[in-house]
Amino acid sequence: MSEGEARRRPDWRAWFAPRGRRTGMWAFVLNRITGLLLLAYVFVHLAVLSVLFQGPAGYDRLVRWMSSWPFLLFDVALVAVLLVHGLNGVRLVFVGLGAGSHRQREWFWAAMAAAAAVFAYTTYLILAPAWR
Amino acid sequence: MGERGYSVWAWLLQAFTGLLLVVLVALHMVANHFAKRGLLTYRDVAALFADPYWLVLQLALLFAVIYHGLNGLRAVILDAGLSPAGARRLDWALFALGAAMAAYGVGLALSIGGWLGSR
Amino acid sequence: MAEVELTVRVLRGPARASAAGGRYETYTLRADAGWSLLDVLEALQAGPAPDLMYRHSCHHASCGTCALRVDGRERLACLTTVGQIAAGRLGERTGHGKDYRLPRGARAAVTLEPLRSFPVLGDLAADFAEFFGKLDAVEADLVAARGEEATHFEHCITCGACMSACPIVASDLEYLGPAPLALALRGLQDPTKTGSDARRLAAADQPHGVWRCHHVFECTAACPAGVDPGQALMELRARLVRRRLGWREGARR
Repeated sequence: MSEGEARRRPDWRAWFAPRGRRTGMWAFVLNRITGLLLLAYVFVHLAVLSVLFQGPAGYDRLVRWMSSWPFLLFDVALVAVLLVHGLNGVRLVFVGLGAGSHRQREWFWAAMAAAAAVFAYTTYLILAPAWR
Repeated sequence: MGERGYSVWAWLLQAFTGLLLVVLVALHMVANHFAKRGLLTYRDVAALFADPYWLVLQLALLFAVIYHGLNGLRAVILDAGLSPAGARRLDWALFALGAAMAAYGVGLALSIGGWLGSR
Repeated sequence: MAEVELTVRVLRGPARASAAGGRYETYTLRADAGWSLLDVLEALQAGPAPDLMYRHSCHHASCGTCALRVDGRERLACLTTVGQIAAGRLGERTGHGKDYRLPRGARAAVTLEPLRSFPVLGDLAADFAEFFGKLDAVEADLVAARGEEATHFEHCITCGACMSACPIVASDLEYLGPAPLALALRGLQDPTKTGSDARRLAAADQPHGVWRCHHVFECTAACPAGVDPGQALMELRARLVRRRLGWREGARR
């Protein structure tokens, strides 16, 4: 082969380029984005909990604040992200070892259906107390 | 990075902590959101963490989250292409970050549960 | 067969490190629905784009030379027909021998780009040197069916479609990628025991080996030869896990 000498450059934009792509790619994009979001949230979550060191007054003020609508909606979104990442992740453990990988597309939709069902119920549980 | 088989363990542990997290996060959410109507008060949290079983579950959650999250981040960064030296530096940086998070998290859990005396 | 007024957008440009950096040129021509994309490219070369660069050889999906991206999907130009494009059926492996019942005076538009994650020799021609180097790294040079039972991995025509479809091949230059890893597994299964299994396992079990795969399965979807590299990769990974856990391979070959 006497071919060109051009050396290509790493292009991570391909991770988020779903044009012409199919279900497996969408699952990957979702998994990557939700994973990074959850890691960012873990840092925030741990940092915010430092108010526990301040005793009851600080913490209970925080909790009252966090029981307000914007934060409850944030919790609902958090549960959605957790469910998508977690249930797609269960699929990946099995698919990643070759179990059912020729049905990976169907497993993805099954995981998302399960996520949607749990999400509907937990959304009700989170928002119901704020209703009254 | 050199040793053979190292990546097998990293992947297996990622899968294992992932499955574990599905259970532990579910418990965590149930206790914090769904066991009572609304969020827990300081007193509720202190009572939970004074229970050794709950403490152990939450520490397991902490360690699993740290490994799964940082190893996931490691995979994302490695996907972008790193030199072996860069990958080694990344491993040390993530290890230090994980250790700091673990120390902080354990301190927090023991403190709120009253396990450090003086409360 | 029906004639189609086909508008072709081609990503063109001189030799460069990747498909990005070219410019799109648009041509319109009348094409028979039964033409393959190679016929279209030849017509462009004979007409408005005499200096158009592309690669092809056999015209019947054996040589693996003419892969490119058609509306963002990896396709062999020889298997893709104008009728298939006009009917919006790029999900089908080939448009040959099919009547898409196109209306009289049908129009269609299509975008042609060189494979992703390959340096470009010019226009639509990808540079395969790096890809062939990765195939060599796993000693993929198997002679199909040396009188032994063949498996479907031998159908691989090394066209590069899976490499282009994989998002990780794009970002980690050292990642071996779907075809080389599928052929590494094929090498391990090779009953004639050609090549070094130790070298294949070492190539697969390193940070730029199977562990970079994130189960996107675009490789399998893109493969025009039905190889299913995604499944091969999972099997290779399962094999490495079993070895590490000390499980016997049992009666597997």
